[in-house]
Parts: sequence; C-alpha cells; structure tokens
Amino acid sequence: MKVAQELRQGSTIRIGDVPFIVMKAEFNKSGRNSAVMKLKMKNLLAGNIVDTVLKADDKVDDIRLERVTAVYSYSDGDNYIFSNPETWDQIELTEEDLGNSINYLEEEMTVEIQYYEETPVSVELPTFVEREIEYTEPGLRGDTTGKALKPAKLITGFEIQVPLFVEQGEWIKIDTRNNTYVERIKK
Amino acid sequence: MIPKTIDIFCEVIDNYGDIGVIYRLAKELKRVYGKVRIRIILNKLEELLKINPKAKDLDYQEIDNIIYIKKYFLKKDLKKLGVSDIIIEAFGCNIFKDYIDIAKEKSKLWINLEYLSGEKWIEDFHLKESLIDSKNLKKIFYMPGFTNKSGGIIVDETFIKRINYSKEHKYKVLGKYFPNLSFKDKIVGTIFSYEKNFENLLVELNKMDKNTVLLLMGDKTQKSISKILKNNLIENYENFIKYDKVFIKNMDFLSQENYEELISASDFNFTRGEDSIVRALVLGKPFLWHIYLQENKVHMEKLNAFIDRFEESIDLSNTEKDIFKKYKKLLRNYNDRDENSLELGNENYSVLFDNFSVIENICKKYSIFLNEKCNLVEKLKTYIKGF
Repeated sequence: MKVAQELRQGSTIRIGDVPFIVMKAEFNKSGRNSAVMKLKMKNLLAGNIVDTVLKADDKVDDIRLERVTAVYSYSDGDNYIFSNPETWDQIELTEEDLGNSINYLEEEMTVEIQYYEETPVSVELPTFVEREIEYTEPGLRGDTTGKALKPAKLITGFEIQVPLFVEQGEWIKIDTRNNTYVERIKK
Repeated sequence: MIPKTIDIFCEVIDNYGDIGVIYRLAKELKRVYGKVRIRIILNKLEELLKINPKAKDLDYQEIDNIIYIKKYFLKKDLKKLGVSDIIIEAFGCNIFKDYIDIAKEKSKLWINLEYLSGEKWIEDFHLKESLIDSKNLKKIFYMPGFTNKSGGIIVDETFIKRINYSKEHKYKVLGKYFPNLSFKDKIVGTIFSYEKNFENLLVELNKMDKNTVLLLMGDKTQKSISKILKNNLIENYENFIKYDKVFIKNMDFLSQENYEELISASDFNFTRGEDSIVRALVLGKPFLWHIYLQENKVHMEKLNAFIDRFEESIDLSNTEKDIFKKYKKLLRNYNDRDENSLELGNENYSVLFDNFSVIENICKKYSIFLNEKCNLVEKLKTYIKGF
C-alpha cells in the first residue's frame, strides 16, 4: 500500500483489477482543502491514458514491476531504442512511455526499464543525475543565497531553474523526481 | 441521470461554516430536484440546532422534506437505511468504509465537494474523475470557486428572493427586529468576524455625517467591540449601545434565514467564513471578508487569489479602477495577521466609507457576474443530467 502523495512518475499501482503506471504527478494544496494529487496514468492493460485526481492521503495498491538494466542507444524518430547489455536484445519505447525521462536521456546512459508481463512500459531514471549547463544567462557572482533562480538549458534542450551564480559550462546535480537543481559539482 | 436519492456527508468540527454550506446546498437541491430524497449525515447536531430552529437532537428526523441522520445511527442501521444514488462527501470528511463498500455496488456518483477557493489551479481539478475500485460508482472532484470554469458558489433562489424583498422593504425588515429604532438616514452594517480590533472603524464611523447602526454577530465580534467600548463614554438607547454617532447591537444567534434577511437589509456587511462571504458577494453590497486564519499566512494567498478572480471578472471605469486598488489594499490589511488578536491593524476604513457608492457599484457588477456564471447548483445539475 502507498498513499497517493508518494506517487511519482514511474510509480505503478493497481486500481481494482487494472494496473497503471504514473506518467505525471502533480501535488496541490490550497488552504483547508484536501491536499490532492493530479495524475496522468497509462492503463497497462488497455494502453489508454487517463487523468485522475486523488486525495493525497488516499491509499492505493502499489505493484512491483520487473526491471531490466538497459543502455540507451538512439532514437529512430518515433521510438527510443535501448539495448540489454547482457542479452543484446533491443527494447523499444515511445516518447509517451518515457515521460519526464526523455529530458535527461543521453546516449550510452544506463537506465532501468520496467516490464509489465512481457511488455516494456517505462524507464526509471536514477534519482539524481549530473548534467552540464549548455546555456544560461551570465550569473551574479555575489549572489550565493540560491534563492533567486534563472532558467538553464541542458543539452537535451530541457530547461531547469538554477541559482543566479551558476554559469554556462558548469555541471550540476539534478533531482529527477521533481526536476530541481541540487548543487554544483566539479568535473 | 435523474437521481432519486442524494446523501450529503459532513463532519462538523467547531463552527457553523461547514454545516451552513451543507444546509443551504441541501435546501437548494431539494428545490431544484423536488421529489428526490435528500439526506444529510452529520457527526453531531449542535450547530444544526442553532442555524435551523426546527431541528431537534434526534438520531433521525425529517425537516422541510430533508432527512437528517446522525452518522453513528446510519452506521448502526446501514442495512436498513441503505445508500443513495448520489453521494456528496463534503470537505474531505472521509465516509465510513461500510457505506462505501455498499455504495460501490449500488450508488452511481460520488462527489468529493471541496472548500471554496479562488486559486486558478482548481479549474484543472474540477470535475476530474478520481479512479476507484468500482464498475458502478464513479467518483469526481468538485471544486467550488469564483469562475465559470470552476464549480461556482451556491446562489440559492430562496436567498435571491429574500434579497429582493429586503431591498424593497428595508425599513419594514429592520423594524421587525428593532421596532423602537428609526433607521431613516442611518447607515446600517453587520459585522461577523474573528477576534479583531475595530477601534479604527468606530473612529471612522463617528467622523461621518450620518449615524450608523452596527449589528454585531457572534461572540468573537461582540467581545472584540466591547473591549473598545469599555474605555469610552457610551449610553444606552432603546436596547442599543450608543457610542457617539454609532448605535451598536449585540445580536443573539440568528438562524440562517434571519441572518440572510438582516444582511440583505443592511448597507454593508463585514463577514467571515465561506457561507457568509458568499452571501455578501451574491448580495452585491460593500463588504469586507475576515478570512479564516491559516498557518504561514496561507489565508493571504487564498484572499489574494479571490481578489484576482474578483478583479478579472468585472469591467471597471478608470475611476473605479483607482478606488478598487484602495479597496483591495483595505481587504488585505483587514486580514494581514499571524494570529487572531485585538492588536490594532493598518486598515484604513475611510476608503470604504468615502467611496461607498463606487464600491457598491463594483460589488453590484461582481454580484451580477457570480449570479449569471457561477451558480454551483445549476452547474451540478447540468453535470448530473449529462452523467
């Protein structure tokens, strides 16, 4: 059992007889209103996408999917191709299957691919990844508080918010659960 | 879908806000659906007994064709009392498991009714399905708000009729409650608030040419004002306390219907809580809202969201825009607090009374918008019809 608030992209749950994988999870709380989770989920049996809202404290059955380690190879335009380094089997996933993971995908990157029965259904990223800033506006060296933020673009084109003191070309650690900057790192 | 039965669940905690909303909702649903059986399931009845004088402390009772059941009693006799086609779970009250287990087989629609909010994100959550383990029962989120895309506010026809009557017969209505006081050439206002220092208000009212009558609702308001009056020269006048040009009356607890009648006959209303602010907005007269205090000043976010929705819903002339800016500041200063206390605030009430007719016109415009675009029961009825 899990409470809805714990659900993240890649979480797998069962409602009734139907297994779902969470593709997007958004938490909201307003004053005295119930804290709520808005979820975009894929029905793992029918393949359709559903939007649903749960109270943050609603209990859901979590299910554990098979995981296989794989390496990202390339995209053929429609699909994203991974390979299993042990069997050399090719694994294909769609953009929809990848969800937020697509923002951090780089060639030769090792990921965990989740299977529901015989079908690959999603990619699980490491909680933290290290990425180089491809572009950001010049920073303010004096500002070390980290409170003020600015956009910074990664090689994949994905933008995240970083503190003003972070410079173009620097490497940063990112929390992939919520796409947030953690710290600068030396490479 | 045409429902035959509706159950409304509400967990009353310590005030009249939640039960006030539910009582009103049930009455309006009854008016709209006529023969539908409507039951309200409550954990306790103390608050209901006050707002509805016909109510008694009974496990099961029917008043004006609405059934009231104590939760423990429904739990105990669930097999006999059964479930309903539509279930309204008010304010995340968590309906007991045995009921839901049967509802999953026999009910059709489970509506999770949330608190009113002006925040924009609620539109995205409104009417969204909440998946549950049932083939028969569908659960949705219903988010009341101040926009057309949200769940709206309760604009009940009984209240609209009462407003029209009280506007036309202002002195007759006031005379019914206070036969010995003449209201001609007096401004009449109601105050219903949490603990608050109203010294600035009294000073402001005493600067005006006209006399003012203040009707104080609730213990907290009455105690807040009596502490100020204690140090000032006051006299008694026909059961009112007279403080210079202000006539003050501590009101006994009023039924919902009597409260509506008095605010409709008043010129301005300072309200608190969800149900009474909605009444003031629907009424379309100048108001101040003492919003429910929340930790980390979350109440200010809620207030600001409401003010944003208010502003974007109406067209204002340049003069009105200038005055609205000051009025917004007054609404914020009236509420900016870390705790409810008798500490003197920064609010400048002259904004309200110096620009009274302009603010009244702004409130009237907003009232027209809300009445036309944000009727909660109409929206709910449309949804249920298409379900």
